[in-house]
Amino acid sequence: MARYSSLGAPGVHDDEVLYIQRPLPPADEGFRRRLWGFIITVLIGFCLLLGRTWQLQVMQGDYFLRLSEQNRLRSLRTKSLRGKILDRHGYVLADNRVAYTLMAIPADLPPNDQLLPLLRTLNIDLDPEMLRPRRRLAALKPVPIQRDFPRDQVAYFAEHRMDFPGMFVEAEPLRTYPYGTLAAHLLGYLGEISELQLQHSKDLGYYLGDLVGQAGLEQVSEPVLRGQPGVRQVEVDALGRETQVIAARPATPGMDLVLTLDLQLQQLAEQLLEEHRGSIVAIDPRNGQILALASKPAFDPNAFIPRLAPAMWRALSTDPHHPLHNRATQGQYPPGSVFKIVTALAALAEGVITPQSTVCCPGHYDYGGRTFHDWRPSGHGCIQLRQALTQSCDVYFYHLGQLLGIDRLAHHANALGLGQPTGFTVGLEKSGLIPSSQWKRQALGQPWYAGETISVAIGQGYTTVTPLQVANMLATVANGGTLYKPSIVLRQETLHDPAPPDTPPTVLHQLRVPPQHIAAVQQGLWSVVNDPRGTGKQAHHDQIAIAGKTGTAQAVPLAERSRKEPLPEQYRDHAWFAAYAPFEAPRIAIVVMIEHAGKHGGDFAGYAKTLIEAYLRQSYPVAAMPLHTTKFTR
Amino acid sequence: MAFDRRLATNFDWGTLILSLAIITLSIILLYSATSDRTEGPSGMHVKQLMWMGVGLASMFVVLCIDYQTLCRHAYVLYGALLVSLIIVLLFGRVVNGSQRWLVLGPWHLQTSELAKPVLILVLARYFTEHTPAGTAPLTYRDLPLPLLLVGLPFILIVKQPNLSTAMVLVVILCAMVLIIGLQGKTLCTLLLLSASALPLAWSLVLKEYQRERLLTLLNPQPDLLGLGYHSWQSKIAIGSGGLWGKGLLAGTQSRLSFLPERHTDFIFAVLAEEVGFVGVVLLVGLFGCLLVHGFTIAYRSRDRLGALIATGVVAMLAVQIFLNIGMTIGLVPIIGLPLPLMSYGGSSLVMTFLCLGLLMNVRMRRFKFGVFPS
Repeated sequence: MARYSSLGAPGVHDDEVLYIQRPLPPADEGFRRRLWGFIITVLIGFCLLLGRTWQLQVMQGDYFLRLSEQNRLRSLRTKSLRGKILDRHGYVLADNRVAYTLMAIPADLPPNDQLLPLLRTLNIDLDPEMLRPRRRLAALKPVPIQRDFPRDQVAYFAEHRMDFPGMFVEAEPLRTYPYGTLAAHLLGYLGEISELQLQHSKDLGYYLGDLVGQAGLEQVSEPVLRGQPGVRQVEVDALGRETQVIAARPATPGMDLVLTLDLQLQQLAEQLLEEHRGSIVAIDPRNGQILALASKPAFDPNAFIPRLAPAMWRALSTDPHHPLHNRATQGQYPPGSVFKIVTALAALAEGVITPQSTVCCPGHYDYGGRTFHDWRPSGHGCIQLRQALTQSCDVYFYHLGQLLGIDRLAHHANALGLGQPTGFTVGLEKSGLIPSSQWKRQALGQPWYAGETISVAIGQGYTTVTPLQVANMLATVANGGTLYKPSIVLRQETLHDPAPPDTPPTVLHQLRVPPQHIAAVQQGLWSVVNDPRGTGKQAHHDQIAIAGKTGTAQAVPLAERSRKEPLPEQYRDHAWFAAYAPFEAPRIAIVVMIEHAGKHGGDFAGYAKTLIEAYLRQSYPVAAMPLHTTKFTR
Repeated sequence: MAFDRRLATNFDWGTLILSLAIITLSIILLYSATSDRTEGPSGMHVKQLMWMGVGLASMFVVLCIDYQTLCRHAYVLYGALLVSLIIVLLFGRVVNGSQRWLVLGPWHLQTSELAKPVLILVLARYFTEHTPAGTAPLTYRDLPLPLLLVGLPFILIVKQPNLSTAMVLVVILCAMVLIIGLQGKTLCTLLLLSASALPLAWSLVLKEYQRERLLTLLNPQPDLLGLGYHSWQSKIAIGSGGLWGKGLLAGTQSRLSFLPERHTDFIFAVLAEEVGFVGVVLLVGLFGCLLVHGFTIAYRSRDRLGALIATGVVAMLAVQIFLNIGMTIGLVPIIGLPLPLMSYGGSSLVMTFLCLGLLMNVRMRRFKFGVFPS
């Protein structure tokens, strides 16, 4: 047995005593001293630990408590359900469908090198940096990774949820337009909110990635359609999973917009336009309500939801026919002979003629050494106002223009709503141009030449108008002289107030023209359709009294036209036909405008007749069947 | 060797009661930290109780064998330790990128934990044999062999990699050397050498993540969501506990998983969050009592061998406690070191009980027993 040297003296075995204490001998005093030093070092270390913990817990306790609450509590927004858009009869034009969105809380996402393969397993190709917010606090706000997440991926994600920290799937209503391209320009579309928009709407509770109205009614009525988002304060764990709801305020759904639009009339109008580029506007002359507003070519707003594919955007924005362009409010065209209504009213109002004044038309008009031709080279003979309108005699109106002078003509054109925006709120509206001597001085720095008035009198020259302006002008003539502001929203419905009164019409202007003068013009318009010599006789209907006016507008000055036949498309004439019915108590005014039709306005009078007949009888050749009907119910 | 009944009268109740008090705290906190709001307790505290049983049993086995006898077989134990470390390196189970676990049926053992008590015994024996009481302080000539003794398991453990456990072995060696006494000149030389070796260690020994952890310690604020995350969340947990704590089962940082490794390395943060500064004082106080008690055992031990064993155990416990708590409160870098008697984990707990067994062993035999004439 090996004996280890002990610290004590050599063992003294004492048989009497059972045991004795053998403390360390004083010889090893240094050992004891160092032991003391050792334990004191340890205790100093412990004091350090306690001191630091005191600092964290007692001195900075409140600060860290706040931080731990920030860790734990998240204020999540509950989105409000976007209001629907319906036509005047209740057909749903813009609806919500169920879609799944893959969301992320940036603060809880794993680092990029782990995130990238995770996203790949979900077939998402995305730069993870896109999910990193610039501001630190924003890292706690959820952002969408992919909208309209395919269902099979949703199932996969749900099964492997634990593998995807910081991500969750949210059922989200997405916008859908059941009728596809129908009224696309009016409805507009949604798009992700831009940084700039986000800055401008700071207090409205928008988050990055929110879909907001970016065009049309969706944009104009965004505050109404959106509703009031709710708030849920939840407790979350470190992976961002909710463990419990602490407080909640529910969201208020957006209001439903009921439009003045008649879905079936709109559908029919778009069908008629299918082969053309152009627009059709139908308006109720009694109140300025838009019944149809079609522009072709159009686009499918569904393509913008949830995000427009870049290729699609390129195709839409570089299309030479500008499908995003709303021709009814943004297309500015020379009105051609439709403008003769304005010239006639101006001449009567200014007293330069009476309805019985006679002008002889030899087929041309000479002024200042220049010859202005009538569309019929043989002339119309000696005629009064009614026949002048019926046959659309150019020489008669050249004469009126000469008698009126440009400024009086422009004054009355403005009074009828031309040359200025109608006040229609949806989308950017163009104002067209009604020239005057003052305008020419300011815009071109030149004096007005009397010869120029001659062209303006028949809606050529500098004159441009939008189809909506023409429709509103005609509605004013049809209702006896009241210019309404065109309206599109009939009422805004909520759950609490399902049937509020309709929005009252807004009167912009009351014409100061004696009723008999207006009646004289109306008589002329009736004859255009119902006289055998009328240029719009294709619109004649046996049961319905229709009045109207044709227009064939030169798209470019005659001199620029080449002599080639057939004319290149961009040189061909624009065709107009404006009509209203029933003649005695008008309920619809309609404008058909075909871009570069190469035909006379009268050739499209049949379109107006079809639309008027269908609308007044409320019998349409097509049923109003939506394309699909998946709905997101409240 | 027959067990002398008189030993029972000298039983070291102090160590037993203190360690049982600490482990009771640990079981309560494990119950709290690992039970789910909806699914209830995870059962980890029960498992830990079982490990405590195993630990107590092995403690009593160690207790019964005279530490002198144990030291006689120290080199055999040392050999067995090296073999087990090599086996782990070759066949061990990889968890979290470290090959630390030896699978024995249902038990997963971290054999590196065993290195601590074995090395305490080996070093105590070596120094007692080679530097009897009253000899001159150690010089650099006395150091190569102890360094080799520590170096072999050190390298094997660093290989796993488990740098923190390996460092504890070095601390045990240093403590013993300093207690025995080191020549002033040698001490200075060693200090200078290690200071100059620091840059080398920085670039050669430390792995990238270890370097980052060290840097993060210096400035944890800029990267709270990245490398500084654990340290920061731990500080939030501790700080938010305040004076009285949020209450058991009510710690949000731990229960909502903001706190990493809450039932193992960061159990102290759970304590601080749920029981507050009061609980911290209680635990640190208990640890302090245990260490002071260990110190008196060393101070009053029968011989130099016992004193060195007790010193080794106290040093080992002290450094683990200091580094673990220091790491949770942001005083030292994040290192994977369990808090003795508190952290969940069988190997660590059983090892701690083994070491406490050694301590009690020394304490019980501090008296010389009369040998009856045969």
